[in-house]
Amino acid sequence: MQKVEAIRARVVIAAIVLFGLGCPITSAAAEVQASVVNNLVFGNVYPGIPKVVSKRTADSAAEFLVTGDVGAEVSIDFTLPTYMNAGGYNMPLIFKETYCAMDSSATPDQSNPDYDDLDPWHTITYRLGSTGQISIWLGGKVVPKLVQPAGSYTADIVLTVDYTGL
Amino acid sequence: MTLRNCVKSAACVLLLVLASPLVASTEAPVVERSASIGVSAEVIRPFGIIPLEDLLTDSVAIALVAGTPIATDASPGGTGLLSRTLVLQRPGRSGVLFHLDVDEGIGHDFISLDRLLVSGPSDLFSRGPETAVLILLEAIVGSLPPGSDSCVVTIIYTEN
Repeated sequence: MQKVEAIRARVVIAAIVLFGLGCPITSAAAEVQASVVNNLVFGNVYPGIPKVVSKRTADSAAEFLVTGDVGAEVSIDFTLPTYMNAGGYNMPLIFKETYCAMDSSATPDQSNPDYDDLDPWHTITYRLGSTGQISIWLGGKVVPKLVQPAGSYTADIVLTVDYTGL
Repeated sequence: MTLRNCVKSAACVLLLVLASPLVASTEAPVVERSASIGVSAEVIRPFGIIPLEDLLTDSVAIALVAGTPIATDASPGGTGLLSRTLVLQRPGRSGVLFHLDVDEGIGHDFISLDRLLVSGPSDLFSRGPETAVLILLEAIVGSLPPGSDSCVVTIIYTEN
């Protein structure tokens, strides 16, 4: 009888420990996350001369990485600025309806992405690939005025992702 | 209930209490569903910016000449000529300072700086201080459909 109780107690302890250790693994894997790979960098621009950074230009185009469950569908929303700012001065910033591209393949290709010419002003849905990832690229166009004051202009782009449940 | 059973029960409860923070802390991990990236640009003001209408006045030591007209310039002192093939000459000199085929830019937002510098004459910077002030020319053909009859040209000068 005592042996049975001893075994029962050990089983209970093992179950508790396994439960405690197992939970973080399963819950973390279910989350979808977004991270930044590269900022959108225009470099030097001259007053009166618009400058475009293509979504295909590595190290200059904005690049995000979304990770989550393999094959899950996610919704992707951008919050886009319309101006860059420097010391109280504004400079128009344009994101056209084709300036976004994505690739969820095992070998994402910025120059020839799977999902191209996407509108960053509207919600985009896409499935995480076999690696559980989506690479997202975004280009932009800055339009300095002829009288644009010199300075370092900045703005922020926010990307929000979530599972659609599909 | 024996003392042994009580001790075992207490041990189980203690383990549950110890295990629970593990579960609680991992059910709410730090997960970033959103990410914010920076956009940056450095605006540089060159020595001067001379729009087309100013370029075509006598006060500027460079003139637009020749080519097939695609638009006329009505500014004071303007030559009334904006060429599809853009040629820059210094007044009184026959040599071409800069040559640009605007057609190449039609259909594009603008012609890039690198492309223009590459397409300029190789001796652009070796013609002495009078001509060397021109180091950058940018033609903005912004959203021009093929066959369009207008464009905007901006000339930028800076000190050599």
